[in-house]
Amino acid sequence: MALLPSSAIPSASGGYTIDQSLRFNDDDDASLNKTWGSSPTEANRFTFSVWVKRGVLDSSTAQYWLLGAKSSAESNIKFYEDKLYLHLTGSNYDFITDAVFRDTSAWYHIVVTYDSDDGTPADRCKIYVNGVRQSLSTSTTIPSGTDNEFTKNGTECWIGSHDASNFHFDGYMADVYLIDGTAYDADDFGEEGDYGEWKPKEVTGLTYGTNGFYLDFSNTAIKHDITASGDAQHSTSENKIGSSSLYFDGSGDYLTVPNHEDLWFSSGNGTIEFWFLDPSVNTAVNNKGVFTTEAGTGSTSFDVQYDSGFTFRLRTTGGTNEDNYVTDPSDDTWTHYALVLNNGVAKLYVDGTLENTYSNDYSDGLYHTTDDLRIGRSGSNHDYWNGYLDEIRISNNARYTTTFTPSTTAFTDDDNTLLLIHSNTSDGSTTFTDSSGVEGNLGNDQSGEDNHFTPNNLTASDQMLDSPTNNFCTFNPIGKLHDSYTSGTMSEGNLKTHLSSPDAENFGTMAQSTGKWYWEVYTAVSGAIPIIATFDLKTHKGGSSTRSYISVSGGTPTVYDNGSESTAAPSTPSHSATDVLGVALDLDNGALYTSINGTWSNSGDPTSGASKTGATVTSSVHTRLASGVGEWTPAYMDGSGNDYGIILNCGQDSSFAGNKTSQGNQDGNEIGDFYYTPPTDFLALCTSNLPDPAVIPSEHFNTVLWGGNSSTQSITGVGFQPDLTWIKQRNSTQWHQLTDSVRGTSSQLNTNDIAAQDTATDKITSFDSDGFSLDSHEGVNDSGDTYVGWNWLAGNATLGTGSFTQGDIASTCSRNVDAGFSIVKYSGTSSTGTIGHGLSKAPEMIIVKRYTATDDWAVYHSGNTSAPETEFLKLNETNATADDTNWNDTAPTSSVFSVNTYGAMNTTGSDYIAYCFHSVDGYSKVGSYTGNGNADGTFVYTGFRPAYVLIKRSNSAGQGAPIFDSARDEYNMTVKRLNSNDSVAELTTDGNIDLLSNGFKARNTDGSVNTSGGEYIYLAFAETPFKHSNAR
Amino acid sequence: MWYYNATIIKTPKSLTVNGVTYPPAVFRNADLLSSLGVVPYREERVDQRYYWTGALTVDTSGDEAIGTYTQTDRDVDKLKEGMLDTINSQVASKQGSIDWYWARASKGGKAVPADIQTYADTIYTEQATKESEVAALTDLAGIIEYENRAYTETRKVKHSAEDGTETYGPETDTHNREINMLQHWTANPTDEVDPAFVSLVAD
Repeated sequence: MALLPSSAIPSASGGYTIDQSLRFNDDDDASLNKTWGSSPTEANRFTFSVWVKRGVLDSSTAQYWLLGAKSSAESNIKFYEDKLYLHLTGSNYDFITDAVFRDTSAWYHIVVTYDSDDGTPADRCKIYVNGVRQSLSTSTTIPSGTDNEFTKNGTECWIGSHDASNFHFDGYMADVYLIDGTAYDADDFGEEGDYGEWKPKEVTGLTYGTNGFYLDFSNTAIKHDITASGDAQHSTSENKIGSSSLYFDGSGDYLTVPNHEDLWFSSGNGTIEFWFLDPSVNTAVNNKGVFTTEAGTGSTSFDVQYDSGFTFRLRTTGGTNEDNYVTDPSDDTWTHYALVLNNGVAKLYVDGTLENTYSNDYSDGLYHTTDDLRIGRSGSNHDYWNGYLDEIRISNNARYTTTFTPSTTAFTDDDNTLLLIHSNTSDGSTTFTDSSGVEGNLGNDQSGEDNHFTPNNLTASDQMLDSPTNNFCTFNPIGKLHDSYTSGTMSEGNLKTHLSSPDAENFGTMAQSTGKWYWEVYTAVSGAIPIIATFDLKTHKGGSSTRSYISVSGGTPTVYDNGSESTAAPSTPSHSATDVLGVALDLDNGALYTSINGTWSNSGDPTSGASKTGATVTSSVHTRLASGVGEWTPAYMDGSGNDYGIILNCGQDSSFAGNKTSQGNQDGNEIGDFYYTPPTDFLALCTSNLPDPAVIPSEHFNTVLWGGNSSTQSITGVGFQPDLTWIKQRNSTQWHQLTDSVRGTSSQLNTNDIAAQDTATDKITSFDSDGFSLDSHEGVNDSGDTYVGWNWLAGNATLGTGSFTQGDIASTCSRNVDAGFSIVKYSGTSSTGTIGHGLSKAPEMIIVKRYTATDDWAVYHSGNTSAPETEFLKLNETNATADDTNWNDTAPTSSVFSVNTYGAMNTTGSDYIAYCFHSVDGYSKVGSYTGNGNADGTFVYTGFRPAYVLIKRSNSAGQGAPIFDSARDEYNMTVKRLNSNDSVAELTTDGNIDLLSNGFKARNTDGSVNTSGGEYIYLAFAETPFKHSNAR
Repeated sequence: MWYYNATIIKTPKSLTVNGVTYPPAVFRNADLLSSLGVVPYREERVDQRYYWTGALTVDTSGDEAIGTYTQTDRDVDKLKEGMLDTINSQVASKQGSIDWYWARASKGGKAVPADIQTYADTIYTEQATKESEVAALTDLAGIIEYENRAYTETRKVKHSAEDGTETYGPETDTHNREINMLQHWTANPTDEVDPAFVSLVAD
């Protein structure tokens, strides 16, 4: 296969990327450590920056240390009780975030800065998460001038633990920086992305300090690159040491070593030595370069040129003082040359005997330009030398200070060696390597400070592709569904799981409705049988509740289609321990294929498209496999109770936690690490492969907060001109105020009441390009009161009846087709009929209000029972759903929704407004879930990081419809609820949830969000699509 | 995995050799990789449950590079502490799943079924047995054997009819299994019965 250099390949994506992370498995006691051997640059300042994806959370009492200073004071930066702690030099200095961080599906960026000399005591310690400075609880301030322990001379510095045995971190880390002597800000390490996310950026210009470091976990050696040009090669024709020597034929051959300050000998000490053989064929031609640090015509620092003699030429750092010494080696004879700088005095030894002492002072090292080191070619006139070299070594010390016997064995690498080139290989080999430097190691410091760490209980297989710039699907330890679910025991970065009961199950952090996806499964349990499973998260309720999944373990797959078991799938071959099972999920054509060790079962052909050749399960067996219907994610379950346990690979680790040798097979986007090659067009489940959302969320929905002034004011920061603004006073009792552009700004509705619209002119006075303007009404702008406004973009224009598909009842609308939102106005007819909604898909939630008369807020929601078109809910009440014909028992279509003659929806002489929503991947979700009555509550997958969630219990009365948002609660736990059905002030006591990178999760048992067996509907809008979201 | 220039390459990435940068696809061309001096790499696995993993040594003398980590025995007493924790958590989970029978009975509901009572008693008995067995372990080899005890499992072969009906046997298969005795308990009588199971016997 022909391969082009990468310069010919277009870049896959712009921006800085982090290619790998390091997995810390706390079961293995994984960590890195080193002991500081020097005093820090400045002990009263440091910065710690790390990207973290959490693994298991375990109990709230476990500590997970990110950075530890093992000393008597035991300073540390850690997760404890799911909060971030900075503990400094003794028990009196604890700084603790108010926020909890227990999102295991995406990455956090954590920056801790310390400057004990900061003039503002409260600023001496700062913690940033995802670029946002955190509110900290502390009982004290750091006294001015207090030294930190993390960079202290003699201190053991640990990454990922307290010491070898305690407080091990679990999860992934990437791009770890410790800066000694400077307190930087979070934006020195990250920046805001197009979707409002916080993302890493290329870090430049940092001063690391003596005890600073940068670990990128790339596992790369730290050595000089050596590039061969022409026919430079190893030759066995001549050799001094080993079987070969370096041969240059005098016609375009040379080696290049990139310029590096190590080679300048700025301390005034250093040694350049090599064995040299000049063939008698060489003729006296000027400037045939043997060794030079100058590529052009400028002044060299050091060069060796073969002329009529053999010239060793040096220049001092000023570049003007040139020393030349000419010697005359014998032809065809191996000679050892050593140029030694000893405290600024340069001497040339030939075969161990001092031959020349240079006159100039080289205390500041050699003159240097930015040119590379060349071997075998001169700089000024590009003449090439013909001859042999062997054992080239450059050292940062004066190796020889008196007469010596040159080594006739291979030069050794030691701490003083800067460059070492051996030749002991086959004839014609063109591989030249630097045998000095640092071998590849997960703890290698890339800062240039040489503060390399020692890995403990970490192997090469712990280097992972999962990174802040390409987040991979794993099992989700907080992915809990109904109340009989019991979580498995996870490890290895949430890729390995064991279950704790037959009803237990685990599922992934990513779920898809369309596209083609591939993943692999392996069991490390000898004698056990791995199991493939995948859940439809839209309908699967967990355990023995409503089941909706596919499970394959040899024989007939177990298939539950939204609660109904099917036995129609063909049998699959048996598989056994250590087999690698593959899953190809074609959600464009509705088929699931399975493989064993790279062979597709039933002669399956995942690339067969609509013909679904040999598919294990198709959409005719599980209807929710059809494109765009289900929401499928990798899963593990084992109803037999044998609990074999599996290890999942969604493309981040084909070593299966070191049980196999990684094979490095990639998908069609050149992403991933699979054991077997994925079928054509099937991709790894990772954020780089997720489709871009149709809309940027903040351009279609936004929340703004303000304080009232009892006068007029313009509220800005919405980011667009809203068509629907929903305002609620937060700090005391006031009605909700809903204003839309279709009815006009002087027309407010109130979800907490059945009243007709209020036509007050002192509320919203205009919709503006970046928000709206207010008058002085206390419902929107009372001095001393606080307010929230939720804003949606429709079309900024109202379309007439000829501009979109009409139903039986004429309607006008303002619509945002891409964002799945329309505002529809119609006049009642008292005749059953249909109403055009203007969208491209059937609305999943419709809120109708008769705005010219008192009446209820009518709600249709697609998740309200299995026959939602026969149900009726009220937004203004705490009622449960009722079986009713108000929607004419007819589900909405892609063009219209249906109503009967109920007064709240269709009475002659009344006008109506309808707010219509359907889900848009990565932006909005209309869904439902079942409560589990547990503080470790039901997890709800949305596919985005929510900015807004409205929840309503549907199967029982007595619960309001709380609204949560990420503007009022900037961090978890999210506790500030406003109920759409009442006018009371913001509550913080009940119905708490966590907003997460890919959904939300109930965090208590309040009936409004999480009663056991409670059925809930919700409407959610995104802050950031999961493709781009940070952990929250 | 591959090895080049003292660097372990776990997954394909751009590779610069002799000043030429090759795209990740180079890792799909074994001949080209070989000509560039990139060799396959594998590691001798260390079971980190029982050994501390330390420094890596790479043997590059053969056609493939082989990585070997130093390994040091983990502390037996600390491992035993973890084993006892596992036993306790297993018992807590298993007893917790049936506690509601007693809660119901205490509130005047149905009495605890006899098989559930027997199961609860058995779990406590097995807990005591396992704790004694763990206490008696004196070295790492014993711990490894206890957590990986050799068994032979016999299972009926599953048959699937065209209508999806599944039947088992009479043919059987036997498999060698390694059972972690910390996880090996009497089954809850309410658990779903495994229709293929015949026997599981210690070797």
